[in-house]
Amino acid sequence: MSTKQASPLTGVLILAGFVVLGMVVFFGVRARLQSGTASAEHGPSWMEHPLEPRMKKTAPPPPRTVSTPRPGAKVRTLQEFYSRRAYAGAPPIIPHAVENDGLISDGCLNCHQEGGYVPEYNAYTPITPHPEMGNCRQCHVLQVSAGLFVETEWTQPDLPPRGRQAIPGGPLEIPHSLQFRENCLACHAGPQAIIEIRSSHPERTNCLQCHVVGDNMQSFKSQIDPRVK
Amino acid sequence: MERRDFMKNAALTSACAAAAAMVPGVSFGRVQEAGTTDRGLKWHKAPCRFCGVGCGMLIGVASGKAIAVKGDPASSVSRGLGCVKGLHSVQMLYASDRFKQAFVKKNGQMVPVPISEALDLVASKMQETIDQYGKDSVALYGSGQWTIPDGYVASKFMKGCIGTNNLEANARLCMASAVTGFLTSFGADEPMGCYDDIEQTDTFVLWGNNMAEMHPVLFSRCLEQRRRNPGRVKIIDLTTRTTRTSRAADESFLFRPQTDLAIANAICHEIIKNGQVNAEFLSQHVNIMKGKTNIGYGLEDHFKFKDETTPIDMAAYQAFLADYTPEKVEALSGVPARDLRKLAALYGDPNRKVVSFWCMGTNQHTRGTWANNLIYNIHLLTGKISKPGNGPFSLTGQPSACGTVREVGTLTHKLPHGVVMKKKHREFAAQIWGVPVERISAKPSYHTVAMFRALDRGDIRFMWTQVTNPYQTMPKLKRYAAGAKKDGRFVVVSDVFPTPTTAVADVILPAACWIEREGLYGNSERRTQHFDQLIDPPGEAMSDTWQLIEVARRMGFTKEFPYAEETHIQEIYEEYCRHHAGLKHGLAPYDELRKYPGLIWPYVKGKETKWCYNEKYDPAVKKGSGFEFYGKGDGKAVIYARPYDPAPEEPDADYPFWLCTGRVLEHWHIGSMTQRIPVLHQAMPEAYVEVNPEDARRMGLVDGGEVRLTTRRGTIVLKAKINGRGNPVPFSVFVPFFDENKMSNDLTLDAYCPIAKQPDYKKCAVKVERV
Repeated sequence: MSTKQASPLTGVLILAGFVVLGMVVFFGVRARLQSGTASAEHGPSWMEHPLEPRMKKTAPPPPRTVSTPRPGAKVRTLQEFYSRRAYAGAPPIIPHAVENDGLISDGCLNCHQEGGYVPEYNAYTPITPHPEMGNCRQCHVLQVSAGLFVETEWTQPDLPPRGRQAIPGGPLEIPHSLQFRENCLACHAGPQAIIEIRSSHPERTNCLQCHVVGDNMQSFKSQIDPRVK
Repeated sequence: MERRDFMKNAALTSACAAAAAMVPGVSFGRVQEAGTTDRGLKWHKAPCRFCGVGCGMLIGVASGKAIAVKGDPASSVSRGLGCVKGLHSVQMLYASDRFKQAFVKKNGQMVPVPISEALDLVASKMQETIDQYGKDSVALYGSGQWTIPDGYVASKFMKGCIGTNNLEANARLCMASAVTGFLTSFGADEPMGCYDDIEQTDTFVLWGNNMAEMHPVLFSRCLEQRRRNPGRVKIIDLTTRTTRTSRAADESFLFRPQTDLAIANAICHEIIKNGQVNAEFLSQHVNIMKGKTNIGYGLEDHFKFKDETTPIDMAAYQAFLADYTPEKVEALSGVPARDLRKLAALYGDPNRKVVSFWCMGTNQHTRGTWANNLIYNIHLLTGKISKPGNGPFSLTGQPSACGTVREVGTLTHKLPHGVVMKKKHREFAAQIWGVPVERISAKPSYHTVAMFRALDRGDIRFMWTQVTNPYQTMPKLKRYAAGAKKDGRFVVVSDVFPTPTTAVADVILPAACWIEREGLYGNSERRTQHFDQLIDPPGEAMSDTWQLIEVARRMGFTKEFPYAEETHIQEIYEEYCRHHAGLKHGLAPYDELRKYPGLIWPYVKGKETKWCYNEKYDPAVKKGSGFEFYGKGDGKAVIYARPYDPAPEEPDADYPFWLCTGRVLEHWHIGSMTQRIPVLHQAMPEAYVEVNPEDARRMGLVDGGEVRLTTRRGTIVLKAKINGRGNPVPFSVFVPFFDENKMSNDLTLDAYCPIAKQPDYKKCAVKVERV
């Protein structure tokens, strides 16, 4: 008897619970989104996965929830980004020790596929934009010595321009090739992203809808001669 | 700043202000930071400067400098990939110690002189030596990094003008066994398949080939093929030490050095025993032969060998293979009989496609020709050859070992088409060259090792090397380095940087490097690749092609070298193409090569021939034959009964370890280029010796501790690497050879394959002591 009477009540309670929970989630996320957008004026917004999915291979790809990173965590800067590359577009060196030099990839993707906070460095792991390529050590090497074999006249070439727009208020051009860098969010969103180039709107994931590669832009010359009928 | 740029920048600045007012909350502060511009950056195609894979690269050039590299997505070789060397290659061009002017030795000192003066001296000294000691007292030693025009001009100059066959190239040290393997088995050089085999096969068998480090881009393609076909595609590694390749492979079989010969025979034994022979293919397209045995090792001066082959039947071949049962070969090689059976089953399975890859492990071998033959045997027995996804594939180490040394034929016995021994071939070359046929000598003179021995003895008095560094790369180095310094020798070196070879030079000619001149390379898969001159060479640096032309003209050969400076590469290439015209080796036209990142020969009617000898793909094959190995008179390839022979020097009580030398991913061959690339030097600053952890424990050796290696020829001290990227088996060590401060070739033995004349850098006996 008692179970029969309790059933509808329980159902209502559960339903009410869901509604409340849903509202909390909805407004909470909205609030966070707003705070993220608003903060763009002073500093960038970014995304953070609430679970810090380090070492979790099954975790979803770059998270969409927006929040602040850990206070005091080291922030990646463009200067650091370029200090690890011989030129813009060169594969970055590996700035940390690798346990097993005898592997083409010593679990690199465990950290670099989804990123996350690493207490050891008090920083967020950079995410690779090409996790499908498993032969990591083909391009990425350690640096075990600081010296040069001989002096060099090589200087780091000019860095690609940032913030270029075709018309005022228009979307920014992409100043680099997309080859092996098709996952924009790997570098432009999330707590591991480079501070100067973080997207103000990471929740809009169809980046190439508005942003085009500005590299090698040539002015258009029509081949059609209007005088010829 | 161009007007257009100015207008654009002005527009941007005002746009910032406007936008900031219009769109509150969005920062446009970044715009003002953008002071730099990439508008001047232009990308040009070029094959990579380094290995024989021949990756297509795009070189970013701005303001006359090469400043960036990326993989060329249009290249069917690399498909946008590159390795760390290729992606940083342009940095080497700006090393501070580039030769920008010529140097001539005066009173024991190298003194800078105008290049014209140095070229005058080279020409007069060469002439003087010929006048005094005869034309076979001068020699030219080049490289698989020579562009096709370099090699062609070298051949015409030495063989067609001076009339000596003293022309060799360092590819003798890396590819000669592959050439003799192809010639003996098929009568024509170079792989029948192409890299497209990778995406069409389901089994990769790597014979002593650490592909992850040496051919990383191709290895990535193999890995991708496996990733896309989980469970089906297998990578099998046959090796003498555990490497990155072994660990990435599905299975790795460790074998005792030199026993690859026995393993290949055991596989054939099993394939026949299991009835997996493709009998139809065998009867129509294959002969079985045997050659001489007890053929020696070439250790002594004036060593001579000529193989004699005789046909045998299947029964005799089977009787020969009876010595190679899996059990017997297990005892010899250390590979368990069940693993040998597993390997044979992979090759023999009629529903499985197999590609065999190999490079220096098989070629730098005192039985290198045999080792190549034996791998072909497996593919011929099963008919897994000249078909997409099925085939033996000999990889190369240099960007134009195939294109220049093998195809142009910068070897003592070769002509661009054919060999000097054949009158018909000499006549053909003489006619294109416009020289009297009597001038081309019918007798091959010195192969590389013999050439350096001749310099040491004094039979050669003048030697000019280009794009190579023999005084780091010759085995048993001490003898040859000392020979070059003897009185009465004149050594000319064309190079880009100071090396141990320029250190013994009497004249140094500054060379234009790679994209500082126009050129063509030919990679492992018969692909000819053109590159434009993209930047100016520094100072008076000059291309190897033009250096040779300048010297030849100074010696009176103006008629033979009529090319105009602006168009000489095209003129030379088009003259060279005449040697190969036809269905079997026709090369792509110059204009086509400028459009594409390489085209495969035979290039027939605007089409690449991706699989040779197969009627379906190769227009040179007789219609209705199915397959025709047209290099041989009867159209049949050859299976060779080649036995196992021990190495000339094996570990004993005094020298108890095996020594193997080779490369590492970060450095390409001798490190003269890659060590000058900061990121690569900092990744791999010096050579080391890999020691097995058990051996290290026994010797009380720790990682990084110093080790003295001693062979009967020399000694060097290196830091130990224990549990590093490679792990040798107990009683064996591995040393990379890139480091000019740790000359691994002071240790190596100058024994060579009697057929190929290629030395073995992979095997000798060494004593290992803790310092």
